[in-house]
Amino acid sequence: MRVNGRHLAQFIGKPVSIIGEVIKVNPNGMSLEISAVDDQRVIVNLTQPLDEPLFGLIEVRGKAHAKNIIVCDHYLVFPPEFQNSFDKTAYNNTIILLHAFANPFSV
Amino acid sequence: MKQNKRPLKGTRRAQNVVPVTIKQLLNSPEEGLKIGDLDVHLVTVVGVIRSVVADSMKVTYLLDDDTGVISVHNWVDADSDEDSPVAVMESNYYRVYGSLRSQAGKRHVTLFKILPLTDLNELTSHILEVTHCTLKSEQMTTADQTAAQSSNERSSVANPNNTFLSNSMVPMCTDDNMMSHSINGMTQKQRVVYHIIKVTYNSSR
Repeated sequence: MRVNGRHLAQFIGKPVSIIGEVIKVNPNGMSLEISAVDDQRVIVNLTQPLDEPLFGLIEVRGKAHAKNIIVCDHYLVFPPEFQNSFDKTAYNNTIILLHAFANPFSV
Repeated sequence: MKQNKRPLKGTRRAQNVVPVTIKQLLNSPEEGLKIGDLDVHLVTVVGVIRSVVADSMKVTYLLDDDTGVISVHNWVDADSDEDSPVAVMESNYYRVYGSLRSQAGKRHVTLFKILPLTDLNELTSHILEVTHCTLKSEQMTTADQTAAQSSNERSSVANPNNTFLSNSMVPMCTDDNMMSHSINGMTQKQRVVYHIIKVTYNSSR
């Protein structure tokens, strides 16, 4: 389920997917901090240490652990061009819309 | 791009590309995916490639959007006449056009076209298109039922509802439905609320 920073609290223990910008990377390579699309800070804990420096827009998929912590299974980095053209407001509103419906995707 | 199709009651040969989620594909019944009242064959999905497996006849991708994972088969035959095939990398977003097939009880998609996402806003708009598609088809189904109930047999009533899907690649707001669907200015939420009010009003008469 796609979420925003503030939805994490409702999805604790559930698989989530969040997009945000890397703020800082922990020197031990096991966690990083991102700023979600709604400008909320989220800490991402990794199961395997990072082998490359991460920066820019990334998407994190994993389980929500706490109000602002995610345990990450996968992440993917978006190319830098995406970062410039990405419309945060639109994405934000889309997520809000998704959560407004009980079952937005199934018929 | 608006096609003026004479409407047929009930099912119609689907020639439209419909944006869907993988969950909808996986949960679809055996006879084929239906959105509302109409059969859907050609779909478009936006998701992440999880794995690439190549064998002699085909290349199989595992496509993952947040709602599920499905295998996508790219049958290799006379590929040489196309311009160089798209390099598909794992952990990257791609847009897939294809057709849903069932094989030994499992669903998969036969690929027609795969494109990398050029813009992350494409992801946003795909989510919105899927939601719109689902809700609009529900609206259409109810509207068709209401039209059938009343003795109003004007084909123009059903027509705008059915031309909706022929525009599925075009932003929805170009539709000019006569049957009170001139709601181009309404947001998704407003349309849903409107729909609910309409249904409640009709059923309480």
